[in-house]
Amino acid sequence: MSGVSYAVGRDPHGDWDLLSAYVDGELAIEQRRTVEDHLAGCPGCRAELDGMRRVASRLRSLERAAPPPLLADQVARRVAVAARQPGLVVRLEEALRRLPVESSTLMTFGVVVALTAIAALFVAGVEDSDRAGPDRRPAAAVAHPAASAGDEGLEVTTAVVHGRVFDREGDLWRERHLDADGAPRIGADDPAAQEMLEAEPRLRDLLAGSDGILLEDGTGTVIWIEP
Amino acid sequence: MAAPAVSDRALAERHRTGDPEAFAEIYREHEAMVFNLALRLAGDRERAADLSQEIFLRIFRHLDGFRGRSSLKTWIYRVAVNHCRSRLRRRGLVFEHLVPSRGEGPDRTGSREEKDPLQDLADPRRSPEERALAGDAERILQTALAALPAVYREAVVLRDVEDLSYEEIAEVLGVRVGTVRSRIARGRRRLADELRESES
Repeated sequence: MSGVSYAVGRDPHGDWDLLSAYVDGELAIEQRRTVEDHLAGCPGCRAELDGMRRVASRLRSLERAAPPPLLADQVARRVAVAARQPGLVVRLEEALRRLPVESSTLMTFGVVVALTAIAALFVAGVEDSDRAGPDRRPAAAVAHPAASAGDEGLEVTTAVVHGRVFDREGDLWRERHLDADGAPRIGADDPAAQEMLEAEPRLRDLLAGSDGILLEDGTGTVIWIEP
Repeated sequence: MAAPAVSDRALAERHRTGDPEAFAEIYREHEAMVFNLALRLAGDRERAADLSQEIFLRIFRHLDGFRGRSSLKTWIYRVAVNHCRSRLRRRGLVFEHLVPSRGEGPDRTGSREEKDPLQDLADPRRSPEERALAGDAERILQTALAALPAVYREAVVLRDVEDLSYEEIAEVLGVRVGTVRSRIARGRRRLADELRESES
């Protein structure tokens, strides 16, 4: 029950968050009574409440769909391929040594898909040519701490080139949207950042030489770490 | 949010040490959940199947990173929602082919069965008429869902379809409970408006 955060005595009239939480039984007893007292004399809020209840009820009545019969086999095949091709491990030092790369060589997706996996990390230092001047934002490597202990590097499964994001799929890189601008920005001393930096200490070198690095954890949650 | 089960961590540990049966167990346990979540977020069975494959591949690759701070179920929901969000944004429009253009209703004789990706979702025990009605109602609802901004769609689906608590949704989405409340309320209001419009 999360209703405790609502101030007791808050006027329920037109407060859709409150009414919606009422639908879900997420209000404390006093709040529930306040809402019910208000609803008794307010047809407008009752109509709104009914609308939200109907929506919730219709969604809840959707039948669970059976997964396609072939899904399990398809997943098993892809997992088997992934298991034979252990995660791409790139030494970060090597990538740093080679930076910066001429950005013109990485301008188009067609070029990027032809790159080898290791080359993809080079984009970590490609400067954003659209933003000339001292505040140029470095392109970012989206890196996953290496999966197994003893790997001396990062498993790079995602790369960012001029704000465009590419995921590795086998030997190819597929573009997708990654909301870098919407990613929470945290300082390097934040516990979440500390955890990632401890998991992969070489990230500190990358962080020190940039305005920030974009990190995506295993669940796909993205954060921007500032030095 | 219930404390993560010891068995969740043990399962992840077995995967880390190379036990193939660990991932198989996870797959069996979560297959329907992942597929249905992808279906409601993407609005299309074929696309949901593709997304499910990718989500499980991601789980396979990153299960080592599961630290047991949340339950494995929450962690998998998080992987799935994040993946669907990034893939569907890349696509731009979601579900566009299920929205019939004017004068091209879903009840054209003969063509609907072949073209409708949702047609086989209704309970097969029902009569063809009942299935058609249920299919139409579901199509209208799914179209309205697809019209929602992704953040509202995710919150509403996690609450009303997946039956997660506000706290669990906050954990899956990485936002505060207050934000969850607000997204659910806005999503439901917009859905109510959309449904009123499409059914009037």
